[in-house]
Amino acid sequence: MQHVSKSYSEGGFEAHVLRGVSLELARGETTSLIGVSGSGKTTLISLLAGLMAPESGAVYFDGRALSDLDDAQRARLRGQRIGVVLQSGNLIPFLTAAENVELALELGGGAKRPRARALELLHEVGLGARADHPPRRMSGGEAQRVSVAMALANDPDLLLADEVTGQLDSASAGRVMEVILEAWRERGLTVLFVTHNTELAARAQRRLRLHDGAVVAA
Amino acid sequence: MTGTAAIALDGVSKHYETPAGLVRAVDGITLEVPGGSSLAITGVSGCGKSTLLGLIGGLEAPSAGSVTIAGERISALTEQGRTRVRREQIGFVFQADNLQPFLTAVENVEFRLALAGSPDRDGRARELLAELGLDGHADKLPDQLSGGQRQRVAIARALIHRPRLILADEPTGSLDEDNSHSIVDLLLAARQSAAATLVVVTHDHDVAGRLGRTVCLRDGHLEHA
Repeated sequence: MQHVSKSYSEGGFEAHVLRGVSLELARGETTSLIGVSGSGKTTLISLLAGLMAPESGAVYFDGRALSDLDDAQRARLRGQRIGVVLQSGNLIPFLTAAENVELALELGGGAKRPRARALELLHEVGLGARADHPPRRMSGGEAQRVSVAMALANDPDLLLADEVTGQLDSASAGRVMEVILEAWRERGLTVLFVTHNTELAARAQRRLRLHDGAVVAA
Repeated sequence: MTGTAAIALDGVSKHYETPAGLVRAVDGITLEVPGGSSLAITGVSGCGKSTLLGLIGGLEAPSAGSVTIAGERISALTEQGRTRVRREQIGFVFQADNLQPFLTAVENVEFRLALAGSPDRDGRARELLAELGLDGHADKLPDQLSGGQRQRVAIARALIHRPRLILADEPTGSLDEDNSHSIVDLLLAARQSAAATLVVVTHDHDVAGRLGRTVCLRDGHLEHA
């Protein structure tokens, strides 16, 4: 990401969330990003995932500017190479854990045996026994681990996690973090996770802070 | 499963154990909804209406009593059996549209077909979005759509597999009056064209008044039918 700026205006008031941010994520490295709420952490994740476009500057994935891709190409890139886990979780409430993961597999281009692959992924995040449960019958931490399994479904190169432990108690938060770091160790992913928890942030190899629209070392 | 998607609840209860004691979210409800009809479930928040909808849709198993949909007793099925019924027979719409933020409108709709392995998913999803007034919006992300448009996408997602039972939990809860009216229009039209049964949980009396029948829930009990 090079010289990226983004602002929002509401009611005549303009907020510069990111002011010329340049950031490079090294392949296979874990990076944490901390910052107070409203500091633009979620905006940064959305820009990296190609969910929004910067006002100025550019976002590159593997050397290619996301702005050079059309909507369909960006969607394909997200489906196949970028895994995203959100704070609120991204589970469909009327699908079971396994169906939610199957959905992620289908959208990434399809697996040969989606049900079997979904069960493997749920097993990887410690939820093999919960495959047939809908989200409302799981705890918040379990639901977030299903979201992680979905994000990992298509063997992404980059995993983006936005405050995924924000609403969890510390034991559940630690377990979700462990699942993410385990995936990083096993798969050699590039990981960026956003958090306001300094203890969790310290578990990344590289620690950054978002302050006044700029990214600095934490 | 044969016949129309009639709903029969017989003495249905859902109780939760909490640190503060036993919560009787739904307590001994008996109710019949004829196939092809429409029903509104109203009541103040916390009265158990969303739990009741979850029981009808097989998202939850009752603590006691039985739930029968189109002649099949879903409360006696395994988790996998209930999953099959949900996948094949039921379309859900929720207040928060629950769209996947990083999927486009058309992708948010077609995944239901993807799970069933149907052909021409993209074409069918685009066609339905156009029918619901979203022509030209199929490739947009949820963020790029208004609240009313997002809820239309959620309705398209609920209808794409041609369910015989449509369950909506506060589908107009976050919308203004005009959008709310047109969302109810769409749900009623969908019920009509598919001869589906429609159940809507709502606290809005204008919405409830447009459905065939209204029941009111208080403290987990039916107040009047």
